[in-house]
Amino acid sequence: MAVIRTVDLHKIYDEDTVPVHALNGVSLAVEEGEFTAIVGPSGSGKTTLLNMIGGLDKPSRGSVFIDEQDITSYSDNQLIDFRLKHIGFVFQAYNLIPVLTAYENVEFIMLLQKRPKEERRVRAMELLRAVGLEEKTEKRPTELSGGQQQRVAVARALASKPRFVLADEPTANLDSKSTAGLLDLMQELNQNENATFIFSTHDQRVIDRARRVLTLEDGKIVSDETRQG
Amino acid sequence: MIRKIAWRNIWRNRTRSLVIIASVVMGLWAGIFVIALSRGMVDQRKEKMINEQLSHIQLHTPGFKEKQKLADFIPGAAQILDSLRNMPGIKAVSGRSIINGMLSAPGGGSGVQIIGIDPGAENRLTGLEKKVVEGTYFPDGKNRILIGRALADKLGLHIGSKVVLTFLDTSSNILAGAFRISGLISTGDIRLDKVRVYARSDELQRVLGTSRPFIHEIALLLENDEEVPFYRAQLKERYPRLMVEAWYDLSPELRYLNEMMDVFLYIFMGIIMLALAFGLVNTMLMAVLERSRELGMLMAIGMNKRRLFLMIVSETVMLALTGAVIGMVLAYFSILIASHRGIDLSMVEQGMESFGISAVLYPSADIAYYPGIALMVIVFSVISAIYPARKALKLNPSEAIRKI
Repeated sequence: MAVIRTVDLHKIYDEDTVPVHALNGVSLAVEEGEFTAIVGPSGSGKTTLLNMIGGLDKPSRGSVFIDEQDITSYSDNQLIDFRLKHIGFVFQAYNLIPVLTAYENVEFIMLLQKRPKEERRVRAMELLRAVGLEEKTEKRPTELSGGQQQRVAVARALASKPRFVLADEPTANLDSKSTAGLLDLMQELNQNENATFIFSTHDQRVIDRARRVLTLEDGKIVSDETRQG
Repeated sequence: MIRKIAWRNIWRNRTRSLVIIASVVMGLWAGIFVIALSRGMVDQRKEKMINEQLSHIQLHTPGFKEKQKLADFIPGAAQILDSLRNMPGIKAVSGRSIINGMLSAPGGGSGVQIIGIDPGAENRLTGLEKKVVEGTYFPDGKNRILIGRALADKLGLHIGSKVVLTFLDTSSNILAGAFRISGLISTGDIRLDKVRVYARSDELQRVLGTSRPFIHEIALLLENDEEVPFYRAQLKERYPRLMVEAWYDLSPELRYLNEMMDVFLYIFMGIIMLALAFGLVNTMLMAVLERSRELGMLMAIGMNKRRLFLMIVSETVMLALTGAVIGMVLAYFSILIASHRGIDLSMVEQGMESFGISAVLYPSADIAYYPGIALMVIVFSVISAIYPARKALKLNPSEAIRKI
């Protein structure tokens, strides 16, 4: 059964001035544990779709169902709570909290979830070890390379044990080596944690690893390709 | 963690934070110091007034203060004085004859208030001897008087000058006595120094041609000034036919000034904090606008609005409190030093003395003020945080994250 379902999703920016149709009736269903890439040219609506699924933005029309719950009817506070409990985000520009160390960045989301201190410590260390940064726990983002920061971001995204990880062009600022390492890591976490991964990407290296590739153009899904893994 | 993030955020833009902290430090330090200076001035004036003029409690016959008639003396004053001298808790007592008259000298004449005193008792009560700036405090010899230096200057008198004191007796007969100036006094209050003349009360009795002591005023100082209301009530009960008044009854403006200082402190600090609040709003607004992407990210990953609001409020409060703590410590120590050394304002001595204030000021700030000031800082910084925090809460996470 689909854990994520969008129905006739529309998003129109600047409706009152010059309307821009970022999404034009997107309907899709994602099964639990999928490793899906959303691809398409710039402006095709990839990030907008991810934002809708993640409850960061509300559609102009249509619905997003998570476990058959329509999250588009949620209030702002309900959406924040929903994201905290169910979604892990990885952003293109890492978006770590600059005043916190790598360890604190990973721990932070568990603090928001009011997890016990020992559980936070064990989980944060486990994830930082998994992303190969056990030696860098006390470093702040500015002391880490782009690849290392993105690894911390992945660790943070998984710290809350989310059911879904939404990654918006996670490899856009990374070199080939860092990209390969990050993709290995995410695939491993997808298998071990059974988290559902959805990427928006231009990156062929990411597309090659995805088990399902959705192609968007002008806010519409133009192809949906599932591969044998 | 929110407090930790808030604290670290303050130091992200060190220069900007230091500027606002410095303004809080300077604002609070200057505010508290000015208040302490005013408080010290009021305290000095109160102490001076009590110790040198009003005393803690005064006793008169009803009606004496309005008309100051010679006949309105206190009956049985000698026994009352003896009884008060033996009363525990009373440090000093003095009985005074108060007669309005005229001082005549070759250089002219002036209306004066002649105070008849027992020099020993008066000195114990008001330290009158210390105010003798020239000459001697009632040396041996008959008919010696002390007059204010200002009066001596006005009439061209000096030590040893002969003067005639003229006044009316109870039957309105003019009486006169010749006296010689033995000392000039300076009380620190020019208004009094222009009219006061001190003579021995027994010598005034001689001029009046009576053996009865004409005591119009009994003034007393207590060991502990906090017991004034208690003694006032006790003496009222003991001497129901006399007017028993504490210093605050005698000088309500002094009492009012004393009480107003506390209100003045909070009004003055409120005005300073209001000015600083604009600086805080500006700083926090800049911080919020600069960090909108980060704030959007925090909302995206699940930080709710209450926590976000708390984070911005914490940051503002910490920023203001850092400055406030430094400002208050600085104020405390600078007041401590100044209260021991005094601040010499002798350049404007005459003007100050005409208001009964000494030229050396000793600032004083009750330690109990500081928690109140800290609370004001917290309240004002919370208010200052509201607008920037509301801006942050209005951010749309998906738009904020895309901002460069």
